[in-house]
Amino acid sequence: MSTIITGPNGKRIHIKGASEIVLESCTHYLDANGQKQPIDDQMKNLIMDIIKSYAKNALRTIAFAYKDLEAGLGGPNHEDKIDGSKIAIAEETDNVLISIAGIMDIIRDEVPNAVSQCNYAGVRVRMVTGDNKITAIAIAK
Amino acid sequence: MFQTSAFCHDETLKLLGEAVCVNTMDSIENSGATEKAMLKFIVRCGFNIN
Repeated sequence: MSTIITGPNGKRIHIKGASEIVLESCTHYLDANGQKQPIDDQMKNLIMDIIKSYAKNALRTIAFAYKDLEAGLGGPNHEDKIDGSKIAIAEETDNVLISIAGIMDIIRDEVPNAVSQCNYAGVRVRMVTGDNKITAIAIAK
Repeated sequence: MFQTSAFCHDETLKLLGEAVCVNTMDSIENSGATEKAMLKFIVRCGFNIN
């Protein structure tokens, strides 16, 4: 999702979503000094490796990015999409990656036993999730 | 103990806090688990969500 806010320097769009998709829309990232730096192939691979390492540890990954909008952009229809696109037009490019977060969604105590009981009863258990595939596999294990 | 200063620049934290807060729907109590986790995280980093 994205939200546009108006501040003293104009409008800014803040984007939150699936890490890989948000990363694809980013051309820059914020370094350890809070400075914008371009994302080259090497940095993109490094960030993807971080996302995968989070996912392999069963963490749900989420990315945050922003972009200061030029005058005239960011109207009420800013979440309009081109047909087939997963993200809105205003979110598509030139974003600055702020952070990738890895969130541990702790499995409730009763779940392992419930799965065991289903298996014992001959019920085939299926996972339905919007999470990253690697995260889902790690949680299932 | 988690050391936020090891990776989080003040300006980056401000932007992250802004991004989390403006993309949290509904009240804190009624927000989703992911949103609650991120709010908790930025508060722990020293961001004032109020």
